[in-house]
Amino acid sequence: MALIEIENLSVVFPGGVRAVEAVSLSVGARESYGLVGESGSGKSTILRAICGLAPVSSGSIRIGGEVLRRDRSFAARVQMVFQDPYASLHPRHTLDRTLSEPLAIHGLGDADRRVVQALEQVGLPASFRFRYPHQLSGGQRQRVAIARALMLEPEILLLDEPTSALDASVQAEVLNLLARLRAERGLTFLMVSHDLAVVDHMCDRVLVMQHGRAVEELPRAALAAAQMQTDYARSLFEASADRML
Amino acid sequence: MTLLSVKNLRVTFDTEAGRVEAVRGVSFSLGRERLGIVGESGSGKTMTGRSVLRLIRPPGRIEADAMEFDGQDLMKLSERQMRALRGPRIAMVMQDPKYSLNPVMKVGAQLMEGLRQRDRLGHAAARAKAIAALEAVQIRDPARVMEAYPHELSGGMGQRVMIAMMLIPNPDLLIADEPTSALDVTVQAEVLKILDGLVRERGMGLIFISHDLRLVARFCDRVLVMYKGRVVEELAAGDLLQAKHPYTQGLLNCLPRIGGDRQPLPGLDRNAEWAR
Repeated sequence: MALIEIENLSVVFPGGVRAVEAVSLSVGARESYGLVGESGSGKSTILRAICGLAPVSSGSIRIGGEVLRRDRSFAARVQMVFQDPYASLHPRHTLDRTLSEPLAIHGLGDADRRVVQALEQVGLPASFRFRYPHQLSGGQRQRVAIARALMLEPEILLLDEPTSALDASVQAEVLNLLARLRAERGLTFLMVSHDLAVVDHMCDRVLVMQHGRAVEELPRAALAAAQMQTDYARSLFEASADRML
Repeated sequence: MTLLSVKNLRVTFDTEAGRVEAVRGVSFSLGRERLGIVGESGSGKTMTGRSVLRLIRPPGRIEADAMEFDGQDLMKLSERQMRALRGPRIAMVMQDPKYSLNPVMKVGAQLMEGLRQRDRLGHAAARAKAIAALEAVQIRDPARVMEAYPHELSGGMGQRVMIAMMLIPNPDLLIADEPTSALDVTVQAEVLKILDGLVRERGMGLIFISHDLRLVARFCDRVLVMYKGRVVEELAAGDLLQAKHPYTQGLLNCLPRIGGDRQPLPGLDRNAEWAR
């Protein structure tokens, strides 16, 4: 059975902007699923709707067969990593405070050990523990955002363009980190990117979106072999043809 | 014909922690062509671009043996003369629309400001020209965008607004700092087409600063690869993907590929010797 099941999801913002229209998708446990499309296609909005950051106007989202309840147990199962590590960390909280806050909220003890372990897991030295975000580079910050998302040991990570704010070499490091963590912890990824090469590298299946609608779902092999059925998916692929090199 | 020639450019910051050399002896010349500058963040590519406009604030210092634009020595011009060059002759598209547009001014007013002040156009004429500039960068609903504040635009729209603003005075040299990194591939292709047209038809010179090597390889004519404030390799853009220098090769190898083998991506080797 699918771990994430989205049926006919629509998101309409106040003011009438229809960001997502009747999108259905399902992601199996331990699968890595990608959402691609141009900006404004609604791909990030789907992640935000799962988290409760965007209104679900109609349709349903089920996690592990249960209709979504956004309470503490949800946070322990599903976590999100945002695009811009410069904006997603509290500028006046040390890494220690950022990483231990979810533990305090969920009443988990042993914060000391868990924070040090979390830093080590994402490849940051323990000496960074009492630093502030402005003392870190973009790649280091994104590592902290990943560490924070993993503090509650969730099954599902929602990744919203996790490397598009980073340099190529730093992107490689962060993608390697995500792939390793997924293998070690059996995580399920739902990942948004506008870079087809990143999605191809990370994901088993890809959903192409345009204007809030699902256009075409492609297994990874079909993407690499350019076996798409719709014109839009093909044009997106052709615009990214240099990513094959 | 050489539009810009830079010899031994150095940018130095005297900070409390000591002297930081952001650019260390960069030389290049530019004709009416597309010159790409690539490198990691911190390699000095943005500082090189800003130096041409002398847009580096103290404690930063710009030094060069020569920096000549269209027969004028940029190092010797007064601040007033520089101001006359910035915009009409040399324009720069900055990296981040979030920080480069005025957040409390409508987009239309920002686009029209230069037209009214510099070109002394009336309100209606300035407005018409601003709308035409937005249409030229493929903004679908220019009248709405004119009335919007920057926070109401997506990153890609903001980026296109900045490009439109810089192209209004028809500069001879455009320095574009990551002009398309906030755009998705389809819009990116449109913006590149606009820039390409300006180089071909109007003979504009373009310095295209980017960390996207594949994009630079297919779009530019020549490429400078920068590392730690120095140019480590200069080559024709068509040869970029077969670069010889280990640093350039490293930058290429750490990119994921469509249809790649999904093995962990190789890290980037850095060797301080390369920047000597």
